[in-house]
Amino acid sequence: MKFVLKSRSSLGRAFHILRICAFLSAIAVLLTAACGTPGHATMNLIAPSAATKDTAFTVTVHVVYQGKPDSVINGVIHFTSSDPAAVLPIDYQFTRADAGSHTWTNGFILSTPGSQTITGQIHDASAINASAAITVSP
Amino acid sequence: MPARHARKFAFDFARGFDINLHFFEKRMAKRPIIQFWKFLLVFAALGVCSPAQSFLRPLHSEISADAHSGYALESADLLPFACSTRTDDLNAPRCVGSGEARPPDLRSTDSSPHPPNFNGGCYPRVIANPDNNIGVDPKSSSDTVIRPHDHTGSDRSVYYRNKLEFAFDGGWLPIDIPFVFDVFLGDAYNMTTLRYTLVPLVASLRWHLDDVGGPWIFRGNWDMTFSGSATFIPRGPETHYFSYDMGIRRNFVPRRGKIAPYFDGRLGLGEINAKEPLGVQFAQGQNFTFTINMGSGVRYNFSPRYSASVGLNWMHISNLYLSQPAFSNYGINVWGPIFGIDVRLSKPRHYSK
Repeated sequence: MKFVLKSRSSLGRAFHILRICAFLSAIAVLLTAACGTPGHATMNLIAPSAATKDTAFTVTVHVVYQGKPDSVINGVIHFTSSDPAAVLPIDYQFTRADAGSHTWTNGFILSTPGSQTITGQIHDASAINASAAITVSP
Repeated sequence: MPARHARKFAFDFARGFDINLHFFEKRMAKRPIIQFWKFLLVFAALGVCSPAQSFLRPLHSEISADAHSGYALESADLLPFACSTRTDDLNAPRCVGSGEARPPDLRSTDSSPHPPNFNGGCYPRVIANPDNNIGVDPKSSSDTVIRPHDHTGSDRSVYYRNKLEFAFDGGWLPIDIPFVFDVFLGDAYNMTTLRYTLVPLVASLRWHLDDVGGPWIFRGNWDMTFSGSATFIPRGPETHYFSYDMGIRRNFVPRRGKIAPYFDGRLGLGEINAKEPLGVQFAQGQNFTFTINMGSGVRYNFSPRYSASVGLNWMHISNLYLSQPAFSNYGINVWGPIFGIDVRLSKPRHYSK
């Protein structure tokens, strides 16, 4: 393989170089795209389907990746709820010991009767989230 | 003497000095009046006592600009000589004849204990030494021999246009810093608690774009680099990164010595096993990433074929916010030492006559 600058003008040389760069970059992009992105972890939020107003209940979060527990997760999970009066756990950072699963025992309280939701989401990785619908009885 | 004979004689004479009179002739044809006055000025400046040099002096500037001239033509103390010092002529005795015109401003000959054997305005035996010392050979005779410089390891045999090199560099980049261009992005100049150490192994093809040129300390040449890089990550959530990079490097080539500083920059794209999609805090947001490498160092040329380099390299990896808002783009910014070797791939430089 031999690269030779045949164009004598600087403009010709520049175009020659740009052509080579564009060609090699296109190959690199295609190869990179062909590798694909394997997706991301998914979260499952396990909560009771019904709860009593102002009564604590337990929620468990499982994070799995390609069907297996996400053992490397160390992000921070943040909970929100449709109930403005809900009592939610503070942000929690997963540890290696969690192995992608953590339980908040009696950590949630909903205070507004009706159909409510609670949502968990990993901070800075909002694509990893889950929700659960809970019917709150008076 | 007929004009065609005079022209042939001039060309034969100039060929002995590797001077392209055709080039000069072409220039003369384009701008005859300007060249004529330039010729007269140079002729008057150099003096009538050295007519040969007065004639060749304007050619020097043309040939030096052509970047095919020898080292001596750029050297201030050898400028009066029209002798080329090309590597393929190393063993050829040069300028053998009855005498060689002596420039009036030669330095080293002035201190020579041997009085000049003045022979019709010519000095007997002038030698251009490899270390740029010009002097009268103590074993001088009436013969005039100018030996070319030994340019086996000179800069022009190392850095020249269209030279191809294979380079392999390995680095150890353990020092994490904020993204140096945060100020242009409006971000705070800070970094996360996550720390990385990158070990890039870079195989490159270097394509030298031009010959050595440029003024003062900026004298040097450019080369373009096409690299494939495998980066191991011993510290950090990710484990490896493969990329393709392209960049340019400026070699600052001194007139003497085998050490040449450089500055380079490379852009590329690659694939990393991003871990933020797995919930790892402050990790990379997606596999497809871009990389920036900038570095500076020195290169030591063992020979025109082999050289080694050592320097500092800054490496940045990020995904240009392509992963947001699903995953934040924090990127990696590390720097550290890098070492490399360069091996010439193409044939040695051949100078055109």
